[in-house]
Amino acid sequence: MANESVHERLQRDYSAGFVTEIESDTLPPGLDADVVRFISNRKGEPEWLTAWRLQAYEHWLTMPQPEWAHVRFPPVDFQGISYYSAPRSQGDGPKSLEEVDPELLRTYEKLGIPLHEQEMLAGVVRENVAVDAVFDSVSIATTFKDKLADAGVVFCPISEAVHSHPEIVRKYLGSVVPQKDNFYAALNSAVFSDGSFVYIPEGVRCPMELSTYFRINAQNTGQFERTLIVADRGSYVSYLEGCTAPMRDENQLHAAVVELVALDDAEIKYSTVQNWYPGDAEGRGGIYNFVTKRGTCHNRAKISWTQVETGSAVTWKYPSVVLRGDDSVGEFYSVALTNNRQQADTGTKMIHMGKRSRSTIVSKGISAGRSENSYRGLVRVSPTAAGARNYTQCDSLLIGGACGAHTFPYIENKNATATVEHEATTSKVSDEQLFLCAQRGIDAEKAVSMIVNGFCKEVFRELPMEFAVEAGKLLEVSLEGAVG
Amino acid sequence: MSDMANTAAHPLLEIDDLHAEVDGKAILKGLSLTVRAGSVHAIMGPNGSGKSTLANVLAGKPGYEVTGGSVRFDGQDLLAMEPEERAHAGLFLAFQYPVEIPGVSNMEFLKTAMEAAAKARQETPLTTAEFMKKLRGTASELDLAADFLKRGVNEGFSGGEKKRNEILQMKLLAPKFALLDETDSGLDIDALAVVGNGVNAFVDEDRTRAVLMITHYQRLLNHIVPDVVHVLADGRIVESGDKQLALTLEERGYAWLKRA
Amino acid sequence: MAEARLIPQHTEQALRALRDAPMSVPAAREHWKYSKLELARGAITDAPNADAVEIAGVPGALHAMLADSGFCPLTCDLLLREPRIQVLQLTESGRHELKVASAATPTVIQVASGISAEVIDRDQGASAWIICIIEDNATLNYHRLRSTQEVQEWSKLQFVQHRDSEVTLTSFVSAAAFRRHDVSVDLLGANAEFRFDGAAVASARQHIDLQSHVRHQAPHTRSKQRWHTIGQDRATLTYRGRIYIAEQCNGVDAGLTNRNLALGAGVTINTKPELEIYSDDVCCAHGATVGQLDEETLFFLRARGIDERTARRMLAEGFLRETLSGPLADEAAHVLTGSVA
Repeated sequence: MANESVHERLQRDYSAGFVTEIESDTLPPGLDADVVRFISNRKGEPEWLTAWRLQAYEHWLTMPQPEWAHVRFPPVDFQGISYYSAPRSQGDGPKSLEEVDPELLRTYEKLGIPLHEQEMLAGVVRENVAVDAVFDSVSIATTFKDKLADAGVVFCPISEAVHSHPEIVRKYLGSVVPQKDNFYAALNSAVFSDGSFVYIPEGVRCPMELSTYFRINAQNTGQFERTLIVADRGSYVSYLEGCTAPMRDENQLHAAVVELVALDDAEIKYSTVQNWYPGDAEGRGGIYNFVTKRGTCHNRAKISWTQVETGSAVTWKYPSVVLRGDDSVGEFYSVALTNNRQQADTGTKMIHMGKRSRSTIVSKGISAGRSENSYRGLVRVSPTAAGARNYTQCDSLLIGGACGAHTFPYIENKNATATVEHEATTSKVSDEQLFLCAQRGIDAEKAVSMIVNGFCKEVFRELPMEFAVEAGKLLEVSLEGAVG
Repeated sequence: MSDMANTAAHPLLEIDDLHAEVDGKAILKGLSLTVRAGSVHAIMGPNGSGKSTLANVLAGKPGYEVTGGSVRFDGQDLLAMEPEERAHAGLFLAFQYPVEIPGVSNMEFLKTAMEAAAKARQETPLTTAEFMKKLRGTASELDLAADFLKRGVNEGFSGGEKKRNEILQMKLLAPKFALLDETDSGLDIDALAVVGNGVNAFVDEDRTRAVLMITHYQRLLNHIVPDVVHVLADGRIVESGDKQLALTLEERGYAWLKRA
Repeated sequence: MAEARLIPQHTEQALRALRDAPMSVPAAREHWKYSKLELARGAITDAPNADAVEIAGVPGALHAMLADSGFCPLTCDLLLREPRIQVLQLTESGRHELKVASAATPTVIQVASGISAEVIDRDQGASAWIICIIEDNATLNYHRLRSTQEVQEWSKLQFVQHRDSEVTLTSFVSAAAFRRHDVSVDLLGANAEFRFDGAAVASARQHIDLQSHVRHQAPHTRSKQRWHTIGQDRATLTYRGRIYIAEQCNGVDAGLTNRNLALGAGVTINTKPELEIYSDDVCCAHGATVGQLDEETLFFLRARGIDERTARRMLAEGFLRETLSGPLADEAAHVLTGSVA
């Protein structure tokens, strides 16, 4: 039967699941104040930052793990994780591409990330995208630095920014996601390893897409990157983030923090294609993706989150916008796909404080296999947010009868001039639809991918072109095994 | 000229002693029927006689189990084929209740279907420009507005629009054999004429094609004149004749058959 | 009244299910996120002995509610043998005016198979706990009106529906200092249907909290809920509407609409419509809005010569009237629109 052959084809492997054999320096598992100091020390951080980390660590010790999400997993052994792993051969990150382990460069090539500027200039792939690549805990290469510098744009590892732009880092680090914000954010604040830093000066439109690729390679390591993007008055930046990890039987923790600051009239567009290893069909292994992402919008500023989430065993993630300024705009466009035994609890928070602040939420959840997929979203309108508006649309698509699709919206309104609208629907890929497609000559796998792509269209539209194509393909691969 | 006399033409569909059941209940009980190239056949019959089951079995809908007999389509064993293979072989079912596929535009759907067909036939698919040209031309023949192509497949279409959309698909996919399942149901007079013209043109353009219409009412037959009319009752063909048979049925009702 | 007697086994199962699936547990923060517990505390005295705890002057109310929440072993037998429990067995079609004897223990209304009953539940003084068991193919139209202002109320209304049963609930509520209504519905039998239309108006510093919880536990069950509220002054309106669809419940059709009008600068509106779905072949939708009167419509009315105050009132009434139906509709319209300033 064709169904079986579909099924067989569907067993195709996670294509980013290879392990790179490189030498690395990895701290033994365990976490205490000394580990925090070691990390800070290793990076030659100023005293204030070491103290800041330790403060976070002390507070983290007193915090319980959040349990309210609609996900279940065995308790994480935080002492069983290594909090630092860096490719060997460089003391403190490579100074140029020549210093990078060629094996590592080949890894990025396999992942389709063009590190070589000349290749990109030749227009082979992703023309006009500057890339920062973070391998385990260390940023290994940032491209196009010169061209960006001409525009005054700073795009570098955050560990470097601590030294090169200390005043900006100190001013904004933790200003959006405080050290004590939540359990995982506190952990990240204590042990964050590296991540990207972006600063767009006043009035500058960043001349190219900025992009960071994250990769977890080493075993038993957690990845705790920290990203800080500051868009000064009237500036604009579009930032892309991609993630992969090798296949490993044990679970790996990824607890990142992303902070966005959009000053008056600035705009930040942040897109994520998250494809961390989801575990195998039985739910063994995979990444725990417990991420805190938040942005603050000042007057007339705009922050737009677009995410395509297909990976990770467990996802706990709510990219949010604090609409502090008057006439500020927050957007959240999300596709979250779960298959096999994946679990996702994801959504957003739109906190309206400024007058006439507006937010739009479009969430598309796709559940297949035996997975659990939840949307959790908060729209809060403060008494100050006169004339605030929110529109939320939240759709679930179920493929097969063994999965779960859930919607948990919270609307809290304290301003009588605000307008909030929330709509949610649930649908399935029906046998009738598949039969219609088959009768018109389209096989089941193609039909499902066509229907799913149609379902996600409103979100894909928000992605930069090349990412949209990638996202579509990713869904196709992730859905393998879902039909037949 | 009756098709029954024209035994020289190529037999496109040969159904021999077909038995089929749904949910363990026998519906088709030894149905035999041959449709030759260039001809239009109609199957009529009371509700529950097995008309729609026949259409679904021929198209390979899951849930319909063939328990006996054989079907050859253009010389091949139809029953051994997957639904999409049957489509690629040139079998087209116009659905009684066309299903909606929200989010997938009509245009995208048709393009995917045509590409799949071209691939199966090892032909080069049309370029996007060629496809668009063909699509627009065909749509305007059927009086379909341009926005119709951008909307989700059948999404929010009226009954008439859905049926016209079926004919649009038929014209573009250019099958050898069209199977129309109650295509007249839910159509107003104007839509009926459009659909009727579409089907007539389908056979007139190419005499290697054939049509099998399944209908409860005689009214579609005013627009598409069949060469042969069959009457289906209790899972078998109980009577065959020319178009006169349809008129007799209309006049005297199906009860007349049981007495006959 | 409630002698020990044989009860259908599925009823016992249902009651056990009710016990095991708590609807409102004071301990669960989520369920009390938006209920002003400090207001409720005025009514619930913290005490180790639940029996001694009073809600709005009702001894033992908390105990009863806790019992339902699975804190206390409560068997069906116990429930029916318990002499304090009022059991109404409706075996003939017709209308019944409900008089709750004691809010400390539940009043069980059992609608016999094939019966079409109507229950009128006007102000019961204070809190009430009512469990309705609707047997196969029975119909219950339950109409509730709450108009007294000077109370603190926490009432529970539970429906256990068997196959082919139908329940229509209308609930019209003029808020009070503290009013919390928990409505829980278990659709246990195939083809059971639950419909709910309700409206509330809250003014001054009033607080009203509706928690509806519909569990679809059989295939081809249907639910449709509409809850419209108007908040004025510094009132708080809270709604949590959960729709749960268990595994292997294909053909379920569930819909929920919650619309809120905020007509005062200090109004707080919290709403949390939830879907929890474990079957794929279902049709499920919910919607919630918070807004004001439509300015364009207002303008239209004024352009036709209607003064602004009257125009606002007309629109607010229209908004409420969308959900007003059943025998109490006129009375409710009078009570509710009368309180719209």
